[in-house]
Amino acid sequence: MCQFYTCLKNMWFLCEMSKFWAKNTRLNRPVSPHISIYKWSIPMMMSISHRGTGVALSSGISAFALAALVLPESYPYYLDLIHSMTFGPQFLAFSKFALAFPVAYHTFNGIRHLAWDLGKGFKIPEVYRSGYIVVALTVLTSIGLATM
Amino acid sequence: KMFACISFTRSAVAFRNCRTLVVSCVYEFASVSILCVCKVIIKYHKILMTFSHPRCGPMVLDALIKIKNEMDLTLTFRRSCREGICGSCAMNINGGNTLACLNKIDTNTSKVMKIYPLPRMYVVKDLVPDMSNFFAQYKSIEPYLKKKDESKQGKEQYLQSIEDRQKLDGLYECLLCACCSTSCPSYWWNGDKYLGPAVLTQAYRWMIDSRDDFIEERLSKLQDPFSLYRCHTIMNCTKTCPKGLNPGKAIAEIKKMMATYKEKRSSAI
Repeated sequence: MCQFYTCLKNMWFLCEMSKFWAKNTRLNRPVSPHISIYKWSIPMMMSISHRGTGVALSSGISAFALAALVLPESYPYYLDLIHSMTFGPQFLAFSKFALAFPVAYHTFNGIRHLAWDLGKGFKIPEVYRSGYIVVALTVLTSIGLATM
Repeated sequence: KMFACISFTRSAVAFRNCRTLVVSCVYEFASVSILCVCKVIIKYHKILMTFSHPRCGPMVLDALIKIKNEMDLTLTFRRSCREGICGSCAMNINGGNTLACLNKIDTNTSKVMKIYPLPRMYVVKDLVPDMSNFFAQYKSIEPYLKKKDESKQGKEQYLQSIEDRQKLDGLYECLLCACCSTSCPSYWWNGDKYLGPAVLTQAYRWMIDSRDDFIEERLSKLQDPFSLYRCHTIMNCTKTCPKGLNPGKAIAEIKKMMATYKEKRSSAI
């Protein structure tokens, strides 16, 4: 009986919400601007960068796996090929930094996310402070890894 | 000058018919050095308005009312209490969602102030968004006390310790102005199925109320990929709340409870 009542209530909410969408599309109402006008902030930029680096890293690994599957030669062949090429030291350092940066950033911001999952660090000053620490650690770690 | 102003206002208030005297005095007191020279761009009104006047209240809402009174009578926006307690005048000012009645006009007269409606909402007119979906989502979490044993209803107070009452601080003060929900990018992209920080904070408020008996049912209602779990801790909500509340923290606490509660079938009546 109680479940039936709950089911009815859920149907009512769905009905209300679908009426909202139907009415607004029927009246062809404009939608207020969001991304184009909302003020960017450090936490917002760090959040989308976390998603961006995550996508980049996982697609990079998937691309590597796909290449290993598809390319004709084996891994040692391509490793020797890269070793034989001559690159300037700046290019090597830069590319090592470019590889290390997303890994470091995603890792440190990931730890920040884990702290949030524990319920810690939700006050706005704490959010900014932890954000700055993540960025500082990322830059230092990337430089450290690039110069190794 | 200020003291004379205050005393004059007090005596003048008694004489409601001397409205102009009271008004000018209040403006003098409130706007000592605040010039009200600002360009206000209101996107959906499609009119660029500039006005320069030495007498205007300090808040953005005062400026909007002044524009409506003197420049464009068709300018439409919601407002009521003018003191930051009703939540009607929520809008996007200079890129952030706040209450217009609490947002001071920048005294730097060279800066342009941009006013938009709450982001990614259907616009009824000018600065007025359609809030029906937001309110329907709020109703769906059943924001009222539910007891398993209703026999004692109305006989005496449901007692609550001081510690239990303190858990509600920072949650009950929510005005449902929708500043937080409309600042959340997840709510922008999934506004139909994701409940949003405002509604989830109220869901949490009822979950941790010691007098409420239905915490497990309230938690199980959020057990799907969208209602709660579209939150990715972007933290725009806490940053923008005009009352200084922390919806992000409340949602994190719900997520913690979701991980540890045991699903119990509510007994059939």
